Amino acid sequence: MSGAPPGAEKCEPNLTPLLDLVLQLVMFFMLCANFDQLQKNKKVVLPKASQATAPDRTISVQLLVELAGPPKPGESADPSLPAGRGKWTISTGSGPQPLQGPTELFQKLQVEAKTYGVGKFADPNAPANKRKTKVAVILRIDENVSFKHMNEVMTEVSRAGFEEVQMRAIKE
Amino acid sequence: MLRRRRRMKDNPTDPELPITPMLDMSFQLMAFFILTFKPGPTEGQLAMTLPSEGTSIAAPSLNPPTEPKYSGLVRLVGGVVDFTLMMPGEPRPIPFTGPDGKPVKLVTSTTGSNINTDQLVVELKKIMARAVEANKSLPPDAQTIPKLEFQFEDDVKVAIIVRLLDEARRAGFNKVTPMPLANAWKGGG
Repeated sequence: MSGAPPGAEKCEPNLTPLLDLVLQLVMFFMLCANFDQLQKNKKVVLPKASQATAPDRTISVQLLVELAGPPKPGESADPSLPAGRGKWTISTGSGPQPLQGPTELFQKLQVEAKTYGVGKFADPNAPANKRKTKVAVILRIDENVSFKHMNEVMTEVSRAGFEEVQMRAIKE
Repeated sequence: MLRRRRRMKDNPTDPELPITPMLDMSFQLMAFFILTFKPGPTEGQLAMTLPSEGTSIAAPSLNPPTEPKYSGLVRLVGGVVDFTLMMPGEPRPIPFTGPDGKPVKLVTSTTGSNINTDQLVVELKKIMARAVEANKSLPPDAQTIPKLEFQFEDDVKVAIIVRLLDEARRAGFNKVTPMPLANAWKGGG
């Protein structure tokens, strides 16, 4: 037996305003979404800079070099790493790979430079479509890393022939 | 028949759109974006010029370079920030002096953590003004973009380095290079 008395009008809530607001919220979150392609190390605390600009989005290939900070007092140091140094990694599209030191960084960058035809290591036999690719080295260096290690990394990046370098910082 | 036609004309039926499925999909989309939304600090990039291979600081030379490697050199050594100028056409770097004729120095901690950034920007702007003034006296093809070089000791932290690079940018320098402290350089006052 139906609960509604005979002749009663069907009551339907007005869904239009609800739909309007839901679509507004969807638009808001869609615009705020940021699908970053880089797998960043969350332990790297970036330094702050008020003059930092938005990252260049025209870069098609990003080589991410991350330098984690040294172990803090009381923290156990990683025995596989040199004393006073944190973990170094490089990501070339297949996930972060650990780096033992500047020499290994240079070797890996050299391979990428040859692949994409960068600097004096450009390979004339590289495919034409790869030669026109805009490649940049992204440096994410923890704020507690010493200048000595930062300089080692910058020197190797420069030696490998990369001119497009982005030093990342938190925009204040 | 005429009455039936008039009834159809007087009572048009509104098309009914089923909004429920659309609302369901909108909720699905919203749930997805809410779950993937992660507010965090905005990451930006800082303009920096890499040291080119083989570059060293401008040391006194019998054959002065045609283009100076920097317009201003800022060194952070042992808690003291000193400044040196290298103007186009000048054979040697010269210390940057204040109105009293004495070399300008800023005193800070050995790590540079409490450096007076406002005073630093003031001095850097003066260096920029000197570089721009020196450029005006040269023919257009001999003019150079003002460059700033910082020299640091090995144990200075990246946080301080980035802060100084930031202040250099605030002073108007677009070409800034951090370099290791060169022990051979005896200039700068």
